[in-house]
Amino acid sequence: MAHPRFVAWRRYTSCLSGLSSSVGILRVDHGWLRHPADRRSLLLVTAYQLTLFGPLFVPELRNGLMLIAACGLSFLNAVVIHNVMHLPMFTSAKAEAALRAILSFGNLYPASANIPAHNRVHHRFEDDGLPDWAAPEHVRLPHPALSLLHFPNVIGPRTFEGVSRFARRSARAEFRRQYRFELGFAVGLTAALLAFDFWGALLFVLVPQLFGARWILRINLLQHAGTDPTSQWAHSRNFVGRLLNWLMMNNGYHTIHHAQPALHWSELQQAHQEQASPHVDHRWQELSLLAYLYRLCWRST
Amino acid sequence: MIAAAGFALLAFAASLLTTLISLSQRTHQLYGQLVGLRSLRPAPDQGPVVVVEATEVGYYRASKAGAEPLDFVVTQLVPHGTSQRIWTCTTDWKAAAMTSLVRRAEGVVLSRTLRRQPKFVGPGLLTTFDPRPKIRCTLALHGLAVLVALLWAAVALGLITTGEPKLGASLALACFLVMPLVEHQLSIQARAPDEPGRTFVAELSL
Repeated sequence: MAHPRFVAWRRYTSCLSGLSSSVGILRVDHGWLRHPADRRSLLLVTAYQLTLFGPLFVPELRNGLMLIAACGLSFLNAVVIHNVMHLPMFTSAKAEAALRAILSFGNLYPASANIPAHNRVHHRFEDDGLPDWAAPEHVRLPHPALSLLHFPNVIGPRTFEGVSRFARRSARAEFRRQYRFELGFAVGLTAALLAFDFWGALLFVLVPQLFGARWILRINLLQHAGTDPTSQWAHSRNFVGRLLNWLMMNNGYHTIHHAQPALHWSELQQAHQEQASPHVDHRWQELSLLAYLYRLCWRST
Repeated sequence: MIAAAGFALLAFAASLLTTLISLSQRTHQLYGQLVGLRSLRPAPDQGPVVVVEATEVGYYRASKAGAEPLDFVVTQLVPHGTSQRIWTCTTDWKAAAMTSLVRRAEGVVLSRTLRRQPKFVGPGLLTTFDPRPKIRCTLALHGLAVLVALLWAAVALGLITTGEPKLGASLALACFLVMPLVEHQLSIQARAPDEPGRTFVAELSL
């Protein structure tokens, strides 16, 4: 029998082919955006860019609150990367490529890395039977809090090694070109900002960039630690709190995301309630991410 | 500005700490392997490590009529001679059982199982070697990495507090970015105790 997450992928690819044929209709409905809900994504990305560039040019903005805001928005930037790499945001390919470059700068890694690392391996296990590059099992420190802290240190290099392997062996020239463009833009702009104002860029650009990039990796651990990847309904932990999902663009509804990766993030909540929630055991439905984090770190459950 | 710098330093320090814990954990495991291998001295003609030649990455089953099948995973492609071949090995106590099983079975058949369709891939080939020199080397590299990381962090902190904050911060950042890469390389090295010129990675499940 095919792996449940592979079945989900087959459904995903068939949905994508359906989507490409309906792009024309969507363009008529929503102009340059494929989905109107992505206005929120754009708003978050714009706000994040303002929190990055603001302190560089307005010294009065260099304070702890701005740093906290930038770090939070950086994580959301990474969520937007995840979303747009599943479903493009713009109808124009050029606009999409430009958006990916801006998003890449936001987290200092090429957004296209998500194609092999997330779309193909995490969703589809397409690495010749090897475990997911971001599987929680890769990190086993003596305490869950230490594992959570250390997770990006292990998963980051593993992922980039895998992405490089993919780029060398399997990727099309188009992927390699876009990947290099995003990498060059992200690293080049960051380096230019460091040269312009070392301390300002180090503390108010680089720290938020890395914060978001590292926490999006940690989310893998939170969503999959202790779950059963071979199960249809117990392969992911869901965080179903409304506030969190409003902020994280429904990223908490993870079971349904794996079942239907092509579903737009704004439709995940309803789909979760209708299709996943009746089947998902209560152990895999957490109301609050923060409460789960507290239990994980201080009560080790 | 000071709060931001404090946050950054704290984050870097926490990351360095977990890297050091991870390195220490693996150092402990490697030491355990060495001790285990010392107490499990093999017969003169039979090493504790089994190497099986196969042709593809995947799950395998060594089987022979009348013998208990043995499942294992080949996880890495290794260049060998003029062709690409895949090898697997194990250094734990099960190696001895596997050695005797494979030796008992004439013309061992390796078949792909558990994944896609079972497929005949040819007879097994058995060789043995002593993995201990490589483990000792990996162990030494782990110790060295811990020392270098501590020294690096100390120098960075020293520079920050003694009038060279930019250089110190750059060093701290470089340490933060480079140490995970070093740890990654060492983890590959640790998973692959081998003889010179070959790489072996394996998990064995009975």
